[in-house]
Amino acid sequence: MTHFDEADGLLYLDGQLDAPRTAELSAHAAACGDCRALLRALEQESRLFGQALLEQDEPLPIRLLAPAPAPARTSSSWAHWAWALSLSLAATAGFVFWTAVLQPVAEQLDEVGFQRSSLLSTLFFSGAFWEGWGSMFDTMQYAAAISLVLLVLALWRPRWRQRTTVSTALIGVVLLLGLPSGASAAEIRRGPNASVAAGQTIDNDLIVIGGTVRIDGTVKGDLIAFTENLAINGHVTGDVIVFAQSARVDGQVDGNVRAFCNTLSLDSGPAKNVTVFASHFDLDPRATVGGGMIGFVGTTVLEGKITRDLLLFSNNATLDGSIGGNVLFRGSRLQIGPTAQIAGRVHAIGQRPPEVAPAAKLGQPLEFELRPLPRPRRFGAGTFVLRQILAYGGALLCGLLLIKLFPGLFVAGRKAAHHVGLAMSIGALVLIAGIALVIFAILFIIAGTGAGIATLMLYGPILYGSQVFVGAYVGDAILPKNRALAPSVGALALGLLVLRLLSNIPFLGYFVLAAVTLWGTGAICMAFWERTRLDTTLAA
Amino acid sequence: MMTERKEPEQAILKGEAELANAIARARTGDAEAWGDLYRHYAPAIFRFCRRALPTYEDAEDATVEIFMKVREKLASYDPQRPFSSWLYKVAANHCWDMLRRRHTRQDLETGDVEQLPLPHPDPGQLAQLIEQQTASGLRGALAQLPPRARMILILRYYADLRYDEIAEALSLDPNAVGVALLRARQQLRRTLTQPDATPLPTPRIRSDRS
Repeated sequence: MTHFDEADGLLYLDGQLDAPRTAELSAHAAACGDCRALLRALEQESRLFGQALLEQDEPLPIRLLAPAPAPARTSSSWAHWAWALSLSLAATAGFVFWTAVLQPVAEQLDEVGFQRSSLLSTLFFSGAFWEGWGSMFDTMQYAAAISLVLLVLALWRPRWRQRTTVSTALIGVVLLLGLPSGASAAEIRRGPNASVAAGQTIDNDLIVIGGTVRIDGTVKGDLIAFTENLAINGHVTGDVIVFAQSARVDGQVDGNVRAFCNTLSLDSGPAKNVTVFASHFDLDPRATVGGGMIGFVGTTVLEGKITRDLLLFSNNATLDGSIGGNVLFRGSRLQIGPTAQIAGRVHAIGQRPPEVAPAAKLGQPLEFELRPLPRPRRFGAGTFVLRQILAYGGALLCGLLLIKLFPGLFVAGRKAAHHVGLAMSIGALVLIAGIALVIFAILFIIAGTGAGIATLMLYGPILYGSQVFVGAYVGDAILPKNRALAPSVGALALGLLVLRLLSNIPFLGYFVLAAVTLWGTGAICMAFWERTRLDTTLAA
Repeated sequence: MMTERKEPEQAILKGEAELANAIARARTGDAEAWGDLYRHYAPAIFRFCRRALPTYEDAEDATVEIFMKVREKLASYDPQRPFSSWLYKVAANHCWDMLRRRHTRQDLETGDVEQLPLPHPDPGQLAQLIEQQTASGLRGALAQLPPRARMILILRYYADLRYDEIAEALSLDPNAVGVALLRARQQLRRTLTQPDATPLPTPRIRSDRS
């Protein structure tokens, strides 16, 4: 007979042929080496298929841990409870943060008459800061609304869980964030020639990046400077926003001054408000600030005039000038000199009473509130437990989100956490490189504001995520090895609990946290690497 | 770098007798026996779905839904036949329905694929190709196959169904199963050797979208 074909071979091997045909093939195979080889190859291929398909390459989903499903749809497995619990914990955490931290600060600001709006809008979003912020804020609000809708959809419609859709949408949101229009209107100058010479006029917002920059000319718009040294002798019609080692303003500024500096000297004040984060701040006697001032400063010397209120957090402050409004001071030492004139009331909070020169003119008697600064971090038992529970809930929520949205990534990260040493060293590398990256992102915020902010925002999740992976690993290590259903909310919850307990050991706890962060960050990176590598090999 | 999990999954029900007993009790509505059955088979069914469906979440949903169906249909199960075959048949039907509901672009229905000539492989070449394959590579290629080819391979080599059972599960002519299976194997080989090529030039043009 002739050689048989592959179909015959397969049917023969699977016993699908009738008796005469089987006998015929057997006889032929006995005589023909080629056909025997074909049979062998087919059989081997079948075996390989069986092996490949049966291999347990992925852990089972948590949901299958739940009791057997009944025909009546009772979909409330306990994973749902974990969701509800951690979501409400997260909501509580947000509420506590808002009421306990943000609102008191905002109220204090209100107390001294600062524009009667919240802290955030005073500092950033008041519109005077930078037009770009305005458009970006809108974008962020839209983005937040969109992601919220996506999340709700994903939670409420179990079928609507096409991971690709979700990730596409998320990428879209990130891209949207990267497209704030504010920066595009500005002129950007870099390098040694960034200075604006006397007589020169820029009819636009100006962003300068450089070592030593002098603004001797006119900027008809905002000035945003990232420099080592900045000197403004000319005229800026908008706001001045400066990140610098040292900055001096001797020219005319028609808007606000917002400064993040080591040393800031105002020889002439801006027409509007001053916000300053600095190590040293000096307001020259010649200077007049048209509005109020908020300062977070190490050493402050105020000899000039502030038209409205002063809110000052300062270690060491000397007040020799005149202040048109109220003063709220918080810090260790306040000196009010003989030339000082304060129209409103002065409220000081600190460790010791302010030193007031007899010649100083105070509109109202000074109010002082003694509050020893180095308060030991002593919480009531209730607060302590609440804080622990909130931290635990946050990490658990993070883990659940991860499991739900990116189960593959979760599994890969959990596996990666098993390589303790490798993960820790990669984590250390990434964290160190990451810090540089963040600085880079801030510096190049102009090149892509959204990208810079997004990078910053990524840092938080990474720190939480590191807890999740290490927690999952610890939980796995504790629970018996040959459980039928491998990774689970249970293991994660247990592991996170252990981490939380460990991190509360006095002194040692900090080392535990540091190790967890390194370890987990490494695991995250390895997981990402593994996932992308997998995708590319599949696509290739 | 990553080690595969080697530990075997815990067998809940050991031995034929215990299994048969659990099935019998579950059919009378014994919740405990049903729970045992579920825990015994859920991992296998999940893995089946994971191979058949595009995403992890789909497989997760499908597993739960399949077991709800199984519980409803348990009365109609014929104890003379192997329980696992019956279970896989229900699972296959469910996954197949899911894929069909999605209006997957690829050819779901029995097409003219079987009419294509079967190339005769060179046994040496075939053996060499097989030798080069890894289990994970094979799974990757499997995921790229059109659903029908994927399903038939899974039913045969994962669920270990007989030809007639496959025919029943996929509503195929029993005589066509062998050719369909061989065709699927060839598609998989093709994907393995030319990963960039579309799995198979879909020969059907007229009813690509219905």
